[in-house]
Amino acid sequence: MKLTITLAALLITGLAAHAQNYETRPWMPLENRIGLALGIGSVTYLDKNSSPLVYQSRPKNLRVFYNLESNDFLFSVDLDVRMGGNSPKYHNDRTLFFQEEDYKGNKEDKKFPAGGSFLAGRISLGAYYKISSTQESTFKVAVGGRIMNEMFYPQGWNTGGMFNALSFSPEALTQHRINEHHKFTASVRIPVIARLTRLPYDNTVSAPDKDQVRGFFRNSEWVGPRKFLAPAVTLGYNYQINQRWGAGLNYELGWYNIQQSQSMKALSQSLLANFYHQF
Amino acid sequence: MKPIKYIHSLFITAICSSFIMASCEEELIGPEKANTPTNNFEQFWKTFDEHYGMFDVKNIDWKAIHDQFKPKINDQMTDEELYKVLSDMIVLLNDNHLNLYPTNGKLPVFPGGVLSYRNGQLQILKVQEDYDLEVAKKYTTDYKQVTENIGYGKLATNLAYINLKGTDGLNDVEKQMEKIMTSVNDVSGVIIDIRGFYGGYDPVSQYVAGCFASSKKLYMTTKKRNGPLHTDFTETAEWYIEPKTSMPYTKPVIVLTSRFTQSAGETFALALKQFDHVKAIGDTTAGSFSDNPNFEMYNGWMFSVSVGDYRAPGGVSYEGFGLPPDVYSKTTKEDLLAGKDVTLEKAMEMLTH
Repeated sequence: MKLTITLAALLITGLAAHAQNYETRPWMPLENRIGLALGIGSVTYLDKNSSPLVYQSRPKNLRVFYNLESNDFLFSVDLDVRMGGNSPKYHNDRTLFFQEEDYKGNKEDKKFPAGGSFLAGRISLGAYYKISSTQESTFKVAVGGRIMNEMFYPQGWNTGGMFNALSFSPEALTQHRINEHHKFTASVRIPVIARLTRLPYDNTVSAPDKDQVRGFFRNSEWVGPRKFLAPAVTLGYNYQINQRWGAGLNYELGWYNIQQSQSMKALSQSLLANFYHQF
Repeated sequence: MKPIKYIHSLFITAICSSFIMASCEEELIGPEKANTPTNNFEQFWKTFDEHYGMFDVKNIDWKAIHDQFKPKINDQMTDEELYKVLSDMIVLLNDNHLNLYPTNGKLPVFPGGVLSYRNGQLQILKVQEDYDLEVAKKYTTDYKQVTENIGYGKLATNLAYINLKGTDGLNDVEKQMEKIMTSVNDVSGVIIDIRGFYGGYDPVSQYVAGCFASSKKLYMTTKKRNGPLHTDFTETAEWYIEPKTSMPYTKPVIVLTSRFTQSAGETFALALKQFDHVKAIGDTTAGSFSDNPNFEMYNGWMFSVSVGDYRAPGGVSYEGFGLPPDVYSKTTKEDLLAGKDVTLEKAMEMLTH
């Protein structure tokens, strides 16, 4: 019981101290931030492993994020899911025509669109150190790194565009505060090493005793920027509604130049509106 | 200038760059070539040249085929004319895994059936006339469809009937086959019907075949194209069949085959062909073992290409020929219309005598 009371007292003391700080907090206080973002985007790619056609998807985007920020460090965890239709950019109304007949003499003509779907997922973990010399400035810079697993999983008549990359990227980010309510952020990152998985040259996954997932991941290798070049830029605007709640807009642009099997290049953009809670 | 100023400048540059990058999509992704019949023909030919896995085993001079058909191509030709040229080209490869998928909604998928060369004459079998699951099911009692592609039931005279028409997810198949093997363990013979097995995923066929294996045996070797030269192949992969489930069935088994048995259906038949307690009855299979992913042309049409060289143990290739049955039997259209499955009856007779 004594232990419980002691722990409770320590906790209350800590919370009181935190609340005191909160009232007079510096610009980057210790804070947790959890948020949800919804948005739209586009993914355009040309995967020469299986097609000379440029594909384009306009997926919906959902992001859940968590940030832990102190005076010196910033940690972030992001989970992104993107889903949408998928079709060749200049042939988005393709129709297939099948003529079917059975032995009883029944004939049927079937037509249906040759579209597909696009699914992408990403989970990332970032850690950054704030450059101390800028602590009291309205312009802050942090440098660090991000470990990220990203997957493109288009489904349709063609296997193009599929990859998975577990990567590490050095990243720099900055925050520019206009006043108590308005803040702009920007970041740049570029992977320096990745565990990259693509379909092989033959575009198949079948291998003895392996299901399709294991068949796909058997074609993985560690690569550097020569085979997986994927710089990304993010821009953000945050509006601090009050000390607990905020909202914002985030734009992200990523370019992929993958040189495993035959080349694949992709351009990804997303624009998300987010709401977050600070505690 | 302080380092922070450099970083500030860097971010301003990054912001400007992002807008520039977004507006330079074509430069960053790459352009598409013009959609002309000439470009489509060359793309079609080149994709086969760089991916088809059986030029050597079938002794095909692909360059000569290019030179034979190229004069028929011009940029004023219609879709119908291009379709005719391309389909005539792939017929020469005698490969049931090659399909041409026009996407204008007017021209049908080619060939839309099974190629069959009999006495030097090409036929495209558009209609399967030797099998109907509904007729076969009438011979069974308590038929259960346990997955989308696997069903089974009991036959008279202590036999069991298992129907495979494709492959499902491996985890699901493993669970269901355990139940099926328990159910059929006490019967004196099993008939596995793959006449309507048009394809699927080979490792799943490997697993299901293993449910009827008495020992571990090599049944297939495969290699696939991994470069643009006709001699560019991956290392050879060896496929073994070995006993699966807690009670593999090793009493007499008969596999029913058809000219419409294709792809993973054929690798399944090839796996079971390695055992003396298994016999095949029916027609020669389609002769299309290799994986056949889809590729595309500038006009949006798609086509499949067999990328592998699949062999039986000993190096024999059945591509283009098909796997012959141990006993030839064919149910006719008239039989089916009369509600009879002659091949199934023959299998039942063989297992009971």
